[in-house]
Order: sequence, then C-alpha cells, then structure tokens
Amino acid sequence: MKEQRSGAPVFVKVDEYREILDVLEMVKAKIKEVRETLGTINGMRNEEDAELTMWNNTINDIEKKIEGIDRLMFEPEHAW
Amino acid sequence: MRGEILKEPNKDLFYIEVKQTPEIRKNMLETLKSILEILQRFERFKGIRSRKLENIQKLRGLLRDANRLMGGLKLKLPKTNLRAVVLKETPKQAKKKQKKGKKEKTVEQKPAKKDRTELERLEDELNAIEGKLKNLS
Repeated sequence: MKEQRSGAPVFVKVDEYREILDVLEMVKAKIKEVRETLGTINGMRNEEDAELTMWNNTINDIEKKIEGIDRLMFEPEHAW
Repeated sequence: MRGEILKEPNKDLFYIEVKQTPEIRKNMLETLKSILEILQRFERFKGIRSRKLENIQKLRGLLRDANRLMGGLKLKLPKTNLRAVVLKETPKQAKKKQKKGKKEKTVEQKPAKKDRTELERLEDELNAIEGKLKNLS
C-alpha cells in the first residue's frame, strides 16, 4: 500500500481542469441567485411584518371606536 | 338601565333615546371601513405569503442544484487520500473482512433506506463532510 503525505502535489488533466472551472462558475452563479432569492424572501418577510403591525394598529382603532359606541349607546338621557 | 328593554304588562313598548347619534353613526361607519380595509389587506397578505412560498421553493431548487454541481465537482477532482493510510492486511484477511462487511451492509442498509427522510439524508451527508474535514485538519 502506498503512503501519501498531506500537501503532496495533485495534478488534473487540462480539459478536466477547464470543466472544473466551468462548474465552479456555475456554482458561483447559483450562489448569486440564492443570495438574490434570499433577499427577496427577506423583503417579503418585512412586508408581512409591516402588514401585521398595520393590522394590530387598525384593530386597536376599531376597539377604541367600539368602546366609544358602547359608551354612547348605553348612556341614555331619557326613556319613555 | 344598560341595554334593558322595559315592557309593561299591557305590552306597551318603551323607547330609549340615544344620545349623539351622528357620532355613533360616524364611529360605526369608520369601524366598518377599518374592517373592510383589514380584509383587503388580508388578501394582499395572502398574495405576499404565496409569493414567499414560491420563492422558498425556488431557493430549495437552487440549493439542490448547487449541491448537485458541487457533487459533480468533487467527482471531477482526483480521488486522492491525502492522509497517510498505513493499515496493511494480508489478502486472506481482506477477503474475509470484505465478505463479512458485505453481508452486514446488506442486512443493515435495506430497512434504513426506506425510513430515511430528506432531513436525515442531509444530516448523514453533513456528517460525512464533517468527518472528511476533520481528517484534513
């Protein structure tokens, strides 16, 4: 059995080397696309958060208005 | 008096005067408007969520492609064992071990393959890579 040390030189055929470079380019392109998609998803998550905050604020307003109606409705001045 | 409807025994109706009706009407209309706006926004929210899910699927596909490409890259690189391997075995021992190993593998691997989920498969792959990294360092 042959023994190989770490750091020993490794050679690759020229045509395979080119293929490797091509694949690396493709991987880089994919990673770039991944980053872009992640950015889009992040943006959407922010949009969702903003929507939820808005809902919360609107529900607070609605609650106040309903309380106002409740207060006005059930404090009659005259009854006959 | 709150919300009470008083009726006399002779069934004559009683009426209650409501104060500040314009304000109540205004409040009611505004509440209705707000509820409708929320419903409208809910539809928008659903749209955002479905687009987000589409993007997550796209991301999954992209990562799978990247993984496949990296696998291909690994195959293109020469298979060198950069670590010193000094184990020496006699041909007989090696044959015996191989036979035994094959038998064990066939027994163990078959049920495992069926039950493995995508997550487990990825975990195995990660463990293998981590093991290789350890060997390199």
